[in-house]
Formats: sequence, structure tokens, C-alpha cells
Amino acid sequence: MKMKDINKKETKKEKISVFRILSNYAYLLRYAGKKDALLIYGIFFSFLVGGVGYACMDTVFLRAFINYLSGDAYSFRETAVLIVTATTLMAVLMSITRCAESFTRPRMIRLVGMMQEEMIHKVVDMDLMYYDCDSYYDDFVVTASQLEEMVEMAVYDLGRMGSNVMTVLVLSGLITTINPVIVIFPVLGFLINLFSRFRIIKLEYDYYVKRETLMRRADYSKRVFYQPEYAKEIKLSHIEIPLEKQFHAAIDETIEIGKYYGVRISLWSVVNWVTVFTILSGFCVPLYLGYLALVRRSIGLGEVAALDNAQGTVRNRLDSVNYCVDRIQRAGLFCEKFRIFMDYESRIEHKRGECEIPRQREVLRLRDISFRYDGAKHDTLKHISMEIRPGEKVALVGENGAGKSTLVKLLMRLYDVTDGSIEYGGRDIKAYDTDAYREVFGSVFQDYQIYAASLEENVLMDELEAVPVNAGQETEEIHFNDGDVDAGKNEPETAGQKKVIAALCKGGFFKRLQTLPAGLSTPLTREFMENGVNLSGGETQKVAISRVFAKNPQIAILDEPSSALDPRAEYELNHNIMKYLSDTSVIFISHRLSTTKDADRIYMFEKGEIVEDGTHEELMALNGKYAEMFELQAKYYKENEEILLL
Amino acid sequence: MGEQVMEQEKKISIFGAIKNAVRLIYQADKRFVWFSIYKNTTEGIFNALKAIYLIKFIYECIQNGVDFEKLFWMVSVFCIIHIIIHLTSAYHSYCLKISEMKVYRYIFSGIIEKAKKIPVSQYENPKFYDKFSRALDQQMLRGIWGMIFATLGIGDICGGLVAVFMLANVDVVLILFAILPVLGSLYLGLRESREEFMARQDETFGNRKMEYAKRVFYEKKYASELRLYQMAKVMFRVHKEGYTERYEKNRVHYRKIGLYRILETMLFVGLVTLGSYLYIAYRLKVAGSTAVAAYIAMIAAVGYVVNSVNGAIENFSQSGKRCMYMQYITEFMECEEEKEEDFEEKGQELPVEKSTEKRTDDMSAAKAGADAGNILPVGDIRFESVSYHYAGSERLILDHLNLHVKQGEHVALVGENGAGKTTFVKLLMGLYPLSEGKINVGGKNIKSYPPEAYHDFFGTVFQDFQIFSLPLCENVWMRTPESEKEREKITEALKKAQFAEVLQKMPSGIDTYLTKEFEENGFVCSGGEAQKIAIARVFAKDPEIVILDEPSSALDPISEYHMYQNMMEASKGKTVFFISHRMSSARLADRILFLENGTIVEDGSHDELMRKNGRYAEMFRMQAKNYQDSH
Repeated sequence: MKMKDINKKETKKEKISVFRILSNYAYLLRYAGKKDALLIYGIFFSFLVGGVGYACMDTVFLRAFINYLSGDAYSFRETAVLIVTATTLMAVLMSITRCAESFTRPRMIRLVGMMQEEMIHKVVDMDLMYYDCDSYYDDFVVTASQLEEMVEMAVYDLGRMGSNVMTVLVLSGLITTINPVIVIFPVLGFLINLFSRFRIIKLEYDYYVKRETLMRRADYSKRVFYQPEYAKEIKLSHIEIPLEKQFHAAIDETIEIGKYYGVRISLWSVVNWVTVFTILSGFCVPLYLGYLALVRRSIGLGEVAALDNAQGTVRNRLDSVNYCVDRIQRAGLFCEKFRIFMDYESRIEHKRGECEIPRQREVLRLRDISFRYDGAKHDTLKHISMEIRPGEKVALVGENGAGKSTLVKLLMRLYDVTDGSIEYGGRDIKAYDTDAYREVFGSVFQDYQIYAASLEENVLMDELEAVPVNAGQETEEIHFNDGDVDAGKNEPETAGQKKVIAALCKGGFFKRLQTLPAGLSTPLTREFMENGVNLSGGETQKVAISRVFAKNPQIAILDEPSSALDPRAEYELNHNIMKYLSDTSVIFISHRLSTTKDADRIYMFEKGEIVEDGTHEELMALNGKYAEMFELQAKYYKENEEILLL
Repeated sequence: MGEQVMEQEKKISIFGAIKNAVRLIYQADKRFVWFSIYKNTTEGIFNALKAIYLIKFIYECIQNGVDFEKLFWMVSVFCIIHIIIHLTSAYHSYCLKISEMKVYRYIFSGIIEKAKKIPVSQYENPKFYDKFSRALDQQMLRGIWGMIFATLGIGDICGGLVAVFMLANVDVVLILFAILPVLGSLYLGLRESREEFMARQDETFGNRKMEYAKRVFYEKKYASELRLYQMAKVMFRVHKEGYTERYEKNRVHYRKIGLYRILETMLFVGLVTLGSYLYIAYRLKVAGSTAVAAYIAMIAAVGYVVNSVNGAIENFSQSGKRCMYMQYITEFMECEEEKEEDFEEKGQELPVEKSTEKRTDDMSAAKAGADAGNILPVGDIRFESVSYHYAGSERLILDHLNLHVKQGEHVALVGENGAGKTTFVKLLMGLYPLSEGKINVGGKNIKSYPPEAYHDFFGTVFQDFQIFSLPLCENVWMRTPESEKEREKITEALKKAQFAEVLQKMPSGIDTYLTKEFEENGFVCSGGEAQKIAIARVFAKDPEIVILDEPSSALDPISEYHMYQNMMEASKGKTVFFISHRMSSARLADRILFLENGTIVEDGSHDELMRKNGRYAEMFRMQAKNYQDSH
């Protein structure tokens, strides 16, 4: 499904039909049922059984008991038999529901976990452009975060609903056998309740929505004061003053809204409570029963007690049904998003191609490509043509926002070009399997990330078991940049580990590796491991670079790979790239022109276009933009010249 | 991890947490607490009377066949009181909406006050993050619900007492049938809630794994890497581990909880229903009592007592759950004080009065203080044998460092990653407490300045500067501009920071809202633009001492060049420290300090150090090599 379709659906959200909600609801239940049918049926069964149990307790049984006691027709012995039989039955039925919720809870957690698992699988299958879509966050992050609550709600509430309906049916049967008129009171109460509650829910919803928007503002101001990343600025500046102002303004407004809606909600609540609970249930019913018993003398004490309890229970249960309907509706609305999400089909991710990806290194050719982000007004890239031959070192330079990073994403087919084509081995890259095509690349993105996993996994960027251990492949010697260090605890055990250690050496991380307590298996980040290691900026970048060395791809893409490195580390990195990636095509993006100088070809970007290209010497001779930029940077490095100080 | 958290948690009992939370809310809104107590106790008592006394009355009327009129009046009286109860209840829900905000405001002020006092090193401690940041991220309003649930529990107890009293009125023996299951429920209920609490604790680790994995999949910053590499597989595993762990842990606890619940049901049905029914049957059939109606009504009363107690337990445990979250807030507001004491007290010894009104007042007061004590200018900085190590770590980040910087010197800190450059500036700004030695600024120990005034000496751009969801002008001025002059200053600062071009395109100029967090058409900065805003802050503040921690990393070479040019010009005569990996910028400094392993190994001007041909020269040449070869 295309993004636009989803957007359209979104705006229509309010108008989803009852049928669609029910169908969504069924979809969610079926989905859950497929994962753990036993759980779902178990919950329904126990709730239904419990419904019968509760229905009988204070009505049928009570009436029989009172009748046994009232007259002299029954002996103590007979009464005792009745009591024992009835209570045993009650105990069994009630225990089933009482413990159902506890016993099913852990399985519910597992069920939700499994459903969530499918969802996140689905997320990786989504095309990257999806992430640029504004509604993505609002919709799908919310879907993910509510899944647990919603599935629980959907299952338990349907169970509760069944239980309530069951109770209502049993009791209505009882009431009708004695005096059908009594049914009028709870049903009338239910209808009034339905109407006023509808109003109240609407008011509450409006209040909630308005309040949430304001509270987000207040919460933001609050967050700034305890999040570590803000701590320094808070100390050193007075930014708390405007933040405080923003907070108080939000709270003031919330109070105003609270007053407005509070009055209305309270009034409706009073109307609801007084009519349903006081007038109908508290006044009419007892008096009508009293009238029947005292004036008409048509019923006895047993009937009065049973009927009073029965009508109260029926009203309560109808109320719960009302409540369940509301929640089922919420679950149904929620599921709309879930369903669209699960039915989504990608255009790029996991696409099968008709051609095998070539095994040998091939030429990557861009033919007059242009690219525009979805919904953007201007092209980010305009008519770019270039050719990258096997083993070639290419540099992309230019100011921030010139489109360099976007270009490399197109190369890796994270997006599809808007116009023109990218060819690899003489074929349009769309002809290959997306997954196989991406295997050609190794990349350091500008915003590389560290994952809460072991160091080894962070370098391999894969499951450890999934790596074929073919010891023969890795014959090259490990070069320890830091001289005669002892490999010690980092003695590689498998070919995979050897590969990772070699990659970390090339990335300049070996010295730090020596200091890590558990070597390659050290968990990174303290996300959930207490003994996890948080790496510094430079170290993080070194790990990210090691990934490329470990993957040893046919084409390496390095987007500002040394931005966080000190000069020595940067120097060594450049050295290692030239040495170990000599057969690999390398595409650099860099601000520091010294690092790109030795490239076979340099492309200077400006506003999405290539303005100059050639070797360093050619571009210097051209004396254009590139030369200007280079001179500017080189100026301060000329050792023996006086600097014209500002 | 899980165990540790649990140990910390165990120290606070549920009632302790409730007490603390209610106290907090009481401080924020006294009237609402009293009102909640009043509302819930009267409701509890009335409901008990209605369910037992009125029912008994009705049954007796019917059994004895009294006049219908008598019944009518009694029912009417109850209905009128009921309406009053409803009105109170509705007013309470109205007040709640306002009180919630009052409480939030109260807590917020507390957080701010605290945040200003806690040392930055504390924030960077992962335990702090685990304990407070996660907790403070939660809804602040749980506490007020905790209080309401607690008062509901009190109401339940009142109702239960009324029921007991009425039982005693009819037949004292009946109380037995209520007391025993109540004791059972109390015991089982406590076991149950303890078990539930442990289940919550045990699953935090699994939960975190799940939440983390989910985040990795939803956040855009991870999206590209996940698609290019196979890291998704690892994250799937983490997620699966997360929920399997939660399942296993919960299974153990919920089995027990289920058993407790069955026992509870058996106890209820066995004693309340079976026992009391049999006793009543005995009294009426064998012992010859004729008060059928009263006894029948008392069946409801026995049930009422048990349900009240169960309700109270449930309400208190709900209250406890919510108050536990508040516990972190109370702790945040209280326990951190000790660590700060040292810093605070010394600050107060100073004759300088702590002014909270305006920054300029603050500054002049501090300056006056400094002047009175010593004639040295603020920009004169002396490090005496300064050492620093992180709490719990042996490794010295700074190792007995000595240094004297004169007013107006421009100093570059150079060295490899991890040499201690960033720590150096953080210590200078008083963000970390020194482990050893002392720092004198303007001839006075930095500990003797009131922290706020001291911080005002500095204008800083950090590596990890933050952009706030506020208008641009406030992001630059770091407070609300109050006069046209101040607004001009802001525009001027943005111009100096190379932001003029972007500013022209902004719809509302310096009043443009940054980030899309709250404003649909808020302005989202690129990395370079954000950095320029951060730099503009320093221009706007015009501080005594300027500190730049890699301010140019996200700038392209041309912007970088202009930025440095402006910065150096604007800070003539001021003391400047800057950290840069680009040696070309370091060269702009009057003095270069080359740091290695927490000490200064080389110190001098660019020319001196180049002549010395040491570590600095080596590093400079390494970077310069590529630029120089070309000619």
C-alpha cells in the first residue's frame, strides 16, 4: 500500500464505519488467536462460566434460601443440603474467573511479545522513505506502544462482555418468571446512562485531547531539567526562565480548560447519577417492590430480596457492557492502524529481482539522476551523472546540505531515484534483489549508531552464529597499530572473531579493545546492561568504521568517517583505508579536503548539482570553488608562512 | 541490575511511599486532600448504611407487613442524602482537574530548584539516569491518584466499620463470619500484592530489552544501518529475549497469585456464604429465632465487611503502586542535597549576596565580591595540582595538573581523544567537583563563588549543545529578551555566527519557534545551523571567559573559517579556551596546551611548539601533510 493511501485513510479516521470497527476487531482477535488460540478460548470460557456463577449467587440462591427459611415446610437438614450444594457450585465457578486473569497474564505477555515481534519485522521491511513521512511517527509509534494495552483490552473485554451478557440473560430470565415489570427499571437506567455517558465521553475526550497538547509542552519543560544532555546548559545559562514561563503558561491554560470541561462533565454526571442510581434504582424499585409486597401482597420476602438484587446486578452489568462497547470501539479504531501497517507492502525492501547479482566487482554508473523527497517542493539532487569503477576512490565534497548524503543513500537503494537510473554491472539496480544488491556495500553513515549488543556484534552487524566460519578465508595478518601489545584475552577463538579483531585494528580501536573487561563480548551501552560500556564519540566512530573493514565490501561508502577523530587517528585511518581497501571502490564524503585530496576523482557539489569534477590537480588548476575551499583550509597549515591574523 | 533495583525498592514500604506522596500533595494543595478525605469517608459510610440499614429496614417492613407510607418516607430520606452525595462527588471531580495542575506545578518548581543544585557529574552517572530520569519521565500526576485511592481505602474502612457495628446489633456471633475471612484476605492480599510487585520488578530487565529493540526499529536514525547491515537479526533476538524473560518471570509469580486468589475465594465462599447461611439457618430453624428479615439482611452485611476490606486492600495497593513512582520524585528532591552540601555551604560563607533577580545584578554582585577580595581580573585562572577521576573509577582523567592562564589569553587545548580536554573545561566551569587540588579564578577559589554567579562568567559551546523547543531569540539569549536593545543584540549575535542568511528566510525572524515539537510550522535546524545558534549564544552573552568545545565539527570549511574569525575578534581581551581537532584552528591561539594522559606535556605558542618539534609538531604535520604536498 502506498503512503498516500495511508494518509488518505488517516484523515478519514473519524468516519470509520461500525462495520469496519467490528471487522478490525475480529482481525485483531483472529491475529491473536493464530498465535495462541488456547489462551483466547481459555479466557472466554472462564469469563462466561464466571458470569453464570455471579448471576446466581445473590438472586436465585438467595431466593431459594429465604423461601426455605420463611416457611416451616423445610427442615434444617434440607436447608443445610441446599446451602452446601449451592455454595460448592459457587465456589467452583467463582474460582475459575478469579484465577483466570492471573494464570493467563504471563501468556498474554508472550502473545503480545509475539505480535510485537511480527510488527518490528514488518518495520524493517518498510521502505526508508516511510520514515520521512510525518504521520509515520504519530501513527506507527503509537501503534507499537499501545499494542500491549490494546490486545489485552480486546481479549479481556470481549470476555467481560460475554460474562456480562450471560449474567444479564440469566437474571432477566429470573425476573421475568416473577414480575416482568421490574426489568423496565434497569433497562431504562441503562438507556439514560448510555445517552449521558455518550455526552460525558465526548466531553472527556475533547478535554483529554486539548490537555494532552498543553501537557506535552509542560512535560517538555520538565524533561529538560533532569535529562543529562541538558544538565550543562541548565547550569551555565538562564534558559530555565523561558522554560518555566512556557510551563506555567501551559498549566494555566490547562486549568482554564479543566474548568470549562469540568463544569460540563460534572453536570452531566450528576444528571446521570441522580436519575439512574437515585431515582430509578434507589427510589422506584424498592417502592415498587414494597408496593407489590405490602399493598398488593403478590410477592414475599424471598422475591423482594431476589428481585432487588437482580435488578441491581442487571443494571451494573448493562453498565459494564456499555463500558466494554466503548473499549471495544477504541480497540477497533486502534486496529485500523495495526491492520494497515501489517498489510503494507514495500516497493524497495526485500524486492526480488530477475537477475543474479554479479560476483566480481563491477562499475556503478549514475545516469542523469534526480531525486526529490516525498512532499518536498524542490529536487534535492539534479541531473547527477557519474561513474565509479572497481577499486576507484571517489570523493564527494561541498557545503552542508548540498545533497551528498542523499546521493549515497540512493546508491545503496535506500531510496529509489525520481528520475534517471543507477546501473551496476550494466543493469539497472532495480533488476537485482534489493538484499543481494545491498550486500555489495559497506558504509559508515553520518549518524552511525551503536547498538546495545556485544562489541563483536556491533562490528559484524549480524548474528554471530549466522557468520560462516571458514577459517581459510582470513589469511592476512593482523597489524596491531599500537606496537607490541599482547593479544591476551582477545585471542580469537573463531574465524569470525579473528575477522572482527582484524577489523577493529584497522579501525584504530585495538588499544581500547585491550582495556575492555570482556574483550569482544563486552556489552556496549548501558541501555539494559549494568556492566555495559559507553564509548566516547571518537571510539564510537572507530567501531562504525571497523564495520566496513569487517564486511570487506565491493563498494565502501564513508560519510564523514573521521569527524570525531583526533588528527593522529584520522591519519592512521586514511592510511588504513588506502592499504586495506585498495581493491574496493571507496566513496568518501568529507569536509576536510586533506582527506579527499588523493582521491582518483573529486566531485564538488553545490545545491544538489555537481559544479566541478576532476582530480585534485585538475580542480586546483581550474581555480574554482574547490580551489578556493582548499586554499582556505590549507592556509593555516603552511608551517613557515606568517598567518594574516584576522 | 534487576536485583539491585529491587533491593533499593524494598527499603520503602508501600505505606511509607503513600505517606511521602500524600505529604507532597498536601504541601501542594491542602484543601483538596481534606476534601478527598471528607468525600470518600462520607460516601463510604453512606453506602454501607444504604446497603445494610436500608435493606434491613425494607425487609423488616415486608416481613412485618407495616404501612407502605413508613417505607416511602424512609426510602425518600435516603434518596435525598444520596443526591447530596452525588453533588459532592461531582464537585470533587471538578476540583480534581484543577488540583492536578496545582500539584504538577508544585512538583515542577521542586525539580527546577533541585536541578540547579545537583552537580553535573551526578547527571552523567548512569545510576542517576536509571533511577531518576526514567522515573521523572513518568506521568507526574500519578501521585494525586495515589492520594485519592488512599482516601478511598479509608472510606472503605469506615464503611466496613459501620457494617460491623450493625452486625453486632443483630447478632454478635455473625461478626465471626466476617472477621475470619477478613484476616485471611488481609494476609493473602498482602502476599498477593507483594508477589505482584516482585513480578513488576523482575520483568523490568526484559521490559527494557523490549522497549529498546522497539525504539531501534522506530527511530529514523537507525533505519539506514538496519537496512544495509544484518543488525536487525540481533535486535530481533534482543526483543525475543525480552518477552520470553518477562513470560518466564511472570509465570512464576502469577502462578502464586492465582493460587492466592483461589484460596481467597474458598475462604470467602466457605466462611461468609456457607458458614453464615448455615448459622442463620440454625438460628431460625433450630434455635427458634423469628427475625428472618434482619438475619437475611445481615448476610449482605457479612459480605459487605469482607468486600470493604478487600476494597480497602485493593485501593491501598493501587495507591501504593502510584505513590511508588512519586517516591523517586521525593527522593530526587531530598537525597541529593547531601552531595551538594559541600558546595553550597562554602558558597554561603561568602559575603556576596545571592541575588536571584537578574543576571546582570548577579554578575556585578559576584564581580564586586571578587573585586573586594582581590584585584585580579576574572579571566586570570590558576590550576593548582588539579586531579579528577570519576566516582568509583581509579583512573585519573586529569593528573595533578598545574597551570596559570592570564586574562585575555587565547588558549587551545590539543590532544588525542580521551586525553582529558573536555574534563579540563568542565572542571574549570565548576561542573564537576575536583577530586584533588584547587582552581583559582580571579584570584579566588572557585568554590567560594555562589555557583550561579560563577557560571555566569562563562559562555560555552559544548560538543553536545542542545536546541530548545522555544523561540529562536530565547534559544540565543537563553532567557526572554525584554527590550528592543536585547533583541538587537540577539540579531547581531546571530549575524556574527553566520546565521544571517537563514534568519532572513525565517517567517517570524527571531521569534520563529524552533523544532516541530509544539509548533506545526516550527523551524527544524540542520546540524550546522544548530551549531551556529549555539555559537550565537556565546556572542550574545558576551561573557568573561569563552569556552569552545569543538564548536566547528559540523560546519563546512567556509563557515568554520568565518566563525573563528568572528569569535577571535569578539573575544579580544577575554580569556578563551578552545578544543579543536583541526590543528589549523589551534594555531589561532596565543598559547597551545598539548594534553596527554591528563597532564600538559607541551605548552607554548604555535611557533615555539613547532620549533620544539615534539608531540604537537608531529600531530600538526600529520594533518598538514596533505595540504602541503600539493604545492
